[in-house]
Amino acid sequence: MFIRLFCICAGWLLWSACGGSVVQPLQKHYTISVRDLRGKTVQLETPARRVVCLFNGSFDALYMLGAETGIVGIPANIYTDPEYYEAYAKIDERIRRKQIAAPGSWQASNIETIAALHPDLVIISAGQADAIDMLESIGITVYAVASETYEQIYKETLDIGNLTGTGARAAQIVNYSKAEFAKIQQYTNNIRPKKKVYYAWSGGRILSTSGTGSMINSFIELAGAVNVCRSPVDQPNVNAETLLHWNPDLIVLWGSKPVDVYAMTELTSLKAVRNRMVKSMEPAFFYNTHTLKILYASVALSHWCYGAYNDRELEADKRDIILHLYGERGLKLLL
Amino acid sequence: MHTENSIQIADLSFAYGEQPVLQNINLQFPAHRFSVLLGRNGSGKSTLFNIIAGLLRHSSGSVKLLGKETNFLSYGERARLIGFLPQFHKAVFPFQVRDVILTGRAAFSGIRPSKEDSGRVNRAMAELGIDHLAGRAYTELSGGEQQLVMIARILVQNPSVIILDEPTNHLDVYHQTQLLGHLKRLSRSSYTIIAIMHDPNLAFLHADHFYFMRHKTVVYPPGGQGHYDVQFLKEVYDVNFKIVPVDDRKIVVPVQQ
Amino acid sequence: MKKNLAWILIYGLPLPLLLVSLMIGPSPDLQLGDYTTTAARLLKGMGVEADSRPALVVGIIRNIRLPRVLLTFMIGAGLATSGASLQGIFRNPLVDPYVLGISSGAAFGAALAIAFPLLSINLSAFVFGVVSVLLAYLFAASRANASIVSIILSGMIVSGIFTALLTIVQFISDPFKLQAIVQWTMGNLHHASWSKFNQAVIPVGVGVIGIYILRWRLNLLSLGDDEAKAVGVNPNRDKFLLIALATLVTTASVAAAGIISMYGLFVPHMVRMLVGPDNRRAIPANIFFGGSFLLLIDNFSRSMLQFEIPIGIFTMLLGAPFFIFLMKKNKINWV
Repeated sequence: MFIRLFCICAGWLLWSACGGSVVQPLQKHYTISVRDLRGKTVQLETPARRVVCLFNGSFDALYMLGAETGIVGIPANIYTDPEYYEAYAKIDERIRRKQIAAPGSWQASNIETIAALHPDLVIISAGQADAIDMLESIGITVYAVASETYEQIYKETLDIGNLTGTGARAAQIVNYSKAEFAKIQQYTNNIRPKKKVYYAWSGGRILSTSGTGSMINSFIELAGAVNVCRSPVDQPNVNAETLLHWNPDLIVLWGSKPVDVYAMTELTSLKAVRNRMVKSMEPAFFYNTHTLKILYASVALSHWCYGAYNDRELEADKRDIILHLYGERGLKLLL
Repeated sequence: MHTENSIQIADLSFAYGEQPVLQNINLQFPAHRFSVLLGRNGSGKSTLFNIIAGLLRHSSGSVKLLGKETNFLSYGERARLIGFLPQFHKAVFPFQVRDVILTGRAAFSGIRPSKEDSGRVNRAMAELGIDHLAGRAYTELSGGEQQLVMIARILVQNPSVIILDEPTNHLDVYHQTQLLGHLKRLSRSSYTIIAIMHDPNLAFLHADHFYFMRHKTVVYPPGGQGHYDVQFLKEVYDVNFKIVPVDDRKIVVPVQQ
Repeated sequence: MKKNLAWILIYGLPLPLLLVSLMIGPSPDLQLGDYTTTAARLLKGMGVEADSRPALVVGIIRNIRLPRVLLTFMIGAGLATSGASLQGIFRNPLVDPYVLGISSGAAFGAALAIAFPLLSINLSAFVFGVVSVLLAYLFAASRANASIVSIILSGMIVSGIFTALLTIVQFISDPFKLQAIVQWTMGNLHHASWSKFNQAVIPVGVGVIGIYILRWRLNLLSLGDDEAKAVGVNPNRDKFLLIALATLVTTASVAAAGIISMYGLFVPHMVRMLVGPDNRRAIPANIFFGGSFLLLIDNFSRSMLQFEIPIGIFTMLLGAPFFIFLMKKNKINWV
């Protein structure tokens, strides 16, 4: 009985699938067309109204763009990582109540769950090539992202703006960021010598850093400082001795606490340690270098390095940047 | 006639779960003699060996080693009374022969062998005529040489009783004869030797006493110990034999029906 | 002649190597002259003034190189010794110290602590390493007399379970934590510090000394259970004791330095080829040779480049050729 029913259903599905493609007009009228980093042209007839976004940086961008109402699927760690959850629960009631589906993450996704959400756009890490192929094979529009350089972030923000019908807003925030960076550059350009900065990864991994070519390197350079690690390696481990040799002016931490550094007896002779110049980028939400907030990370670092103004003014800068990136409502909810 | 017995077994029965393996065994092995336990495969010889050696515990009947119930012996006490040669041993690491023999002292010399222990090793090798093997890797020896090394290992332990499970298996005639000769000699010094074998002729040629197992128990010839005849052997082995005298001993030849 | 050479390699090498290792490091600005002047000052009892070059030299040697060198030696010695004893106990030349699931258990423990920081990473790794051995023993011991095969099998099963759990943790981790987990499992001697050394020295020391004391018993166990019982020894007591000691050593090593794979497998073989299988000679040789060989390897990984090269790379690149050389020369055929 069930088998027969199943066969009928399957047959009907098959028929409708074939039929669907036959009656489809050969020429669709695309009004939106962008090219993602795979070189693939991504086209939509109308701005996406149902968006599944499985990449944290782009997910964040949707809020800056004011496109968050269209989100129907989010990266799973928005719910599982307390740091993310806390931040996004503030600006989105649906997140706070965990009402939006979480059909994947930066490294994996559930194709069936995504398909069941009937998205007109899926934003996903370019690393998930198989998932992208499968989604496209069942007719779902995919925009692949990476956010590995800040040029990529600009472009991806603009593209996602176009795809979600918020192109103007995207242009606005990108131009704002560029202008702000130009200001920092102007200020730090003539400063000599440049401050030497050492960056340490999260979770107390003080001796793991980031080399040239990384996003971290970009943000240090945007702040007008120099990354002490000159190796073109994304996440190298270094010897404490090497760190002593580099002797940075400032140590900047992400997800670690300054006390983690101050507690290391082998590092007590470091300039940055003796001058108490170990700074933590907390809460991480405001310093996410894989988003346009790389601007705030750079402003803060520039401030720590060159002390252009006092902490109160830095706080004012933060409000200003958040206001420009997330709007009035975002500012009120986030700060 | 020696009346002293090294091992006394009375009313011994044993079962693996519901499966009886030994039933109502009564048996004595005389001291300072070379005794052989014969029988077909599956008659219970190996189980009896394991019980005497202390590898298995029995629940009914009694097994006494020099008057002491084996079930109540500690490892240390047992080490003084009995050493055994298991049927299969396969070394993995190429230990030198002298180091292998030295481990025979493990029950007595805690964490480190003494000078005296090395003396015992040398004497045991001399006794068995294997001094020349001392520095060789055990794994490179022939089967017969390995058996002698393992026996030397038991000699350094210096137990009263040595019990061996199929010691001549896989050995050529030369080594068989040599080994059994050694066992006989050892029984004449201070040891009681008990071997499990299935070839009756090797036993008849070298051993002093013979015991036969059939269907989970020990059977005795009607004429008394040592007076086995063709009829009795047929019952034990299910084969027709012809008895042939050789010098002062008898050997048996299997014949077709 | 050949014997003497092996003896020098094993017992003559460690001390000079330890001293030389203290003068090797990635700091390009420390010259030979620095060591000699500093040594001269100290020998004359002059002491060093703060902020002087000798102070830097003393600081680097005392706080960075010395703990690293000692920890490395200790871990090398520990892995080799526990590998040798487990190979003996299990009468299997293919066994390594991780055979009972320690590495997977510890990796899971570390990953758990990285993802959800409740316990310290070291402690969590240690606890789960011990748990994995207990589980392996428990699984195997459900049958009256645990055979070697059943213990090794249950070790593999336990290892499989913890690998699966590790994968879950990795899967739900963000890229940064994932990187931390991956780096932890690759071995992380670059984190060596006095506190790590102090945490490891007691368990590793107790374990190694215990195995050293029981080294002759190991010969007996290597012959097999029946051969032990044949001469009136209960092998289970010795086995249990030695496995407990080996577990202590291995788990503490893994907790302190991550997973250094293969080392505990091939060093005992090298030692056997150098001094023969008698554990009375092989265990002390494992302690000294195991320690100095890892130290030698680590000297490469910490001084070749500006960043650290994971220890596992050089253990194999240097260990494999040496191992093959010895194997060809000794013509050992395993049965």
